[in-house]
Amino acid sequence: MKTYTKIFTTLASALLILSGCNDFEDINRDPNAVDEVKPSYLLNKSIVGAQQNPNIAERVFVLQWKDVARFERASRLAVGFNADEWNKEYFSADYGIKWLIHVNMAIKICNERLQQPGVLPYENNLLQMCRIWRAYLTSELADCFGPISPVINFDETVKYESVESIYKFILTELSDAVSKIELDADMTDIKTENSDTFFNGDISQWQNMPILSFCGMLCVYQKQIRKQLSLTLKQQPVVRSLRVSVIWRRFRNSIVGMI
Amino acid sequence: MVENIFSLGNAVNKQNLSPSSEDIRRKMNSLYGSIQLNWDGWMYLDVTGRNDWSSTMQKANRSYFYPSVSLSGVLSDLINKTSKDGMPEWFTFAKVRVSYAQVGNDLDPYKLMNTYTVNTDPLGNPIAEMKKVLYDTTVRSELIKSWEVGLELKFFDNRLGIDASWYKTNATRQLLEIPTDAFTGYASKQINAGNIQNTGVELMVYASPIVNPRGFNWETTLNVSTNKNKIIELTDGVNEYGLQTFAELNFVARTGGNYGDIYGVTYMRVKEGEHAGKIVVDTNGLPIIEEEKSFLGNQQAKWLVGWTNSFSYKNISLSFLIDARIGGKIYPATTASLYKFGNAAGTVIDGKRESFVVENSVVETDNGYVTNTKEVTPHEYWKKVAGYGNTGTTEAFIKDATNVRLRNITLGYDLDKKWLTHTPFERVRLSMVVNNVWMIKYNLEGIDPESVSATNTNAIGFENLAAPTTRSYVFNVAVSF
Repeated sequence: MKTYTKIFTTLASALLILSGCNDFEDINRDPNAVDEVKPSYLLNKSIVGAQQNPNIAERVFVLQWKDVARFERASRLAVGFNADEWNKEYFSADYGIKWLIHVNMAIKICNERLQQPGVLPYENNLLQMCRIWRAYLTSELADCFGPISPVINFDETVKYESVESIYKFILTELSDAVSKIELDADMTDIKTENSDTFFNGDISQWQNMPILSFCGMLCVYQKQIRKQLSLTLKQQPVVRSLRVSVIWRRFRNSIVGMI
Repeated sequence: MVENIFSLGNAVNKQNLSPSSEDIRRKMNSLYGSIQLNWDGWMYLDVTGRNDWSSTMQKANRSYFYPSVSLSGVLSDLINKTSKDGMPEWFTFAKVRVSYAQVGNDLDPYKLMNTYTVNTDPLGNPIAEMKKVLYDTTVRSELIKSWEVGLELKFFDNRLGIDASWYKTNATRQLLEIPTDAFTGYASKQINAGNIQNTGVELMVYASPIVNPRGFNWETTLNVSTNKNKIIELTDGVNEYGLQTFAELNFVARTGGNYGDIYGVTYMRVKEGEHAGKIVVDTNGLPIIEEEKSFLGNQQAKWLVGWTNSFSYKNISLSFLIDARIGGKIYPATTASLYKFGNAAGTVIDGKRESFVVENSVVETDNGYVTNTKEVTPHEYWKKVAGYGNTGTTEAFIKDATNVRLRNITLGYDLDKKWLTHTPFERVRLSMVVNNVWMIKYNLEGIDPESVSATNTNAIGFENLAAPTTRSYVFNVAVSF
């Protein structure tokens, strides 16, 4: 009888302990992390992250690009010495691709929000802001490294595109995003939360931004773009509004608010 | 900024602060049971089982069970029982055992769901950051399966003994973060993968050659072990897992290779012809370094040997341990740095830093390779060889990590019982221990092969500016009441 009591009490206490395990789900929830965020926070992270830090972003710009352009005597690529580690770090999920990841996730969340009821007044404009910024970032990374994946779908598929099709994508994105901007939408939420580092919610300035980023590309790839995209170029509404003097003035004036 | 998240990063008016806070909790419930059966007093069967419920895994995979079973037979008891004469006098004890065990491991906390962290940028504006690892809620626990076969023999009334065992361990379903293309949105992905196998032999031989309860005693023990490791598979599409990587030096686990294989850069050498094997130098007389890495060895030791001797005479006891690690390679990046800056003793030969021609070298000309006669200064030479990349030219500095050292000495004295009769103490023992006494033989230049550059990496073959290992002197008083 004594043995049976012992076995019974052991089993009973074991069952009692096991029944106390229904807080497992809560325990594995990180108290310092968030499940859902506002896409404007992700966009801001992408913008701020892209500012050159003294470690790698500045190295790639000053010690690689400026060296090759002979604007800086850094004796790197210009004399045949390649620091591939800087490229590796820049072209990784710590730098260049990190900014693209954040803006793509912001676009994904914006698209999901727009499908649901209760869309806030600024959310459509926010989506277009993200698309414009993504187009610029894509051009920056493609300029450095050539074929990249312009869109991140977060479904574990990756498709690298040629530089020509990347620029076509950028042009169509910019035209489409600019055309979908609602100039009269209520952007006070964005202004109060201070998440737009560039223009603090002034959506008309965002509308002008594509001209500036397109200008940057044009300056570098004038001949190549005109030759390869001659027909499609003339059809883009963005191109039709171009006049070189206007572009340069705006570019110069707005450079203060940019990188 | 975000509701209901009580974290420092989520505060609104933080000025220029970018804090990070961590609060890590996990819970595990375990149930363990064991049964031991014996048959006729000489054969034993042990069975254990354990089930864990862990908070860090998803509900469906939260509970995992792992058993073990061990069968052993004390052959000496069996023979003594069944045969007429029993065991021969000099053969005191014999036991064989075989066992199979499984052990499980769970994830670290908070690695099931992809979450964001909220903070502010340097201008005080809110940002949200994603994590770099794609988590998967369907991962299962790790499973480590091991087989062991052992033999224990004692002779001469327990004055000589041998304990030998062979084991084979397979670590499967490892919870690894496998690198992925960053354009998927994440730098790595959490998966169950891999089959990493370790087989080895451990042997212990102990003897008490001199036994005199009232006089001089001597006991000696020898431990020898060897371990062979093999990466059987990692996961689909991944053949290499980096432990520590630089552009010119990689410590990796490659499928079909061993854990901790070292790939590094070498001098460029002539491949064929009359000058085959010689180092190729450039027109300045300095060696050219081959950019493509080659296999240069493995970081794991082949043998580990330890030998303890204890002596005692009446109240005094003395013991010392000599241990040796044989095989395996180590790359001391500190040595390369010292050579690069001219601080290493090896940059001075016979008290001078004279120019020299690189030994056995050829230079490429229009007519093929010609013996090199261009002199270089030690400064130029080491700047090139030791300054290559971040860690130097691997071939020049990688060394065998074999070393033998006197690990510790213990000297003890038991106070005579008659002095303690009027004190509350039963026994008082004074002892002194010295650790890391004497490095008897090693191959590096002033660097202990046991110093490692970081504790959070498995690349134990890489050393870089590690703090030297220390020698310690410990004085002990032990009293019992």
